[in-house]
Amino acid sequence: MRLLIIAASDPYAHQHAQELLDAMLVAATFGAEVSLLFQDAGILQLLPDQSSELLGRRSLSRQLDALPLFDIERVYVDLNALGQLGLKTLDLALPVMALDSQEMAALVAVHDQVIRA
Amino acid sequence: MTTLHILYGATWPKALERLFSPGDAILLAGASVALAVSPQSPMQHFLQRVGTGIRCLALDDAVLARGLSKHWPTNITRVSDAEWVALVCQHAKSLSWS
Repeated sequence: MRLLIIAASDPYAHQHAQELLDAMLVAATFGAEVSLLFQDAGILQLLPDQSSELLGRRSLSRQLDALPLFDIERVYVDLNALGQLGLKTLDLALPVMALDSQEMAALVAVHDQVIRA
Repeated sequence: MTTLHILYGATWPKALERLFSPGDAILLAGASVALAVSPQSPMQHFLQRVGTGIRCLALDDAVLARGLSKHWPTNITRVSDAEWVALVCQHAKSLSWS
């Protein structure tokens, strides 16, 4: 089963980002082929040097470093949303591929299930 | 009778522009700190339109937690939790936008 996870939530405003990450790792553990797309405020999950301990939270960025251990190597970012934040792919903690609208639509099309949070 | 507008969400609340009065201040808390980093964001456009007199601040912990220091703009001052309390006291009203 090919699963596309779309992470669109701020890393620390609520629990959505953490819960989505947990769900994704469980799916990968049970053999799903997982791809990950970051959009909107979810792109902030990818910034390095997060001091999440100030908010009493685990760093999302550091947890995302473990993705290759779960065979999650297809990581994408919404090019338009990245630009709206004034960021570039080189600013991010993980190597990602930036996709335009057409490429994102194609990405959704080739997956069996999509979860966005 | 000034108002402190406290933003929490990652989306710029367009309606704030219609409620804003001279002397009001904006404080970015939580996810709203991301609104500051792009010079082309709707919030930065609003700040440019209103002019240099406007006070716009952000909670330092919210900025640091998200790793945004490196990208932080010079026109938005970062404040501590204690300074946040002082800001609330300095304004007649606080209005939360989530």
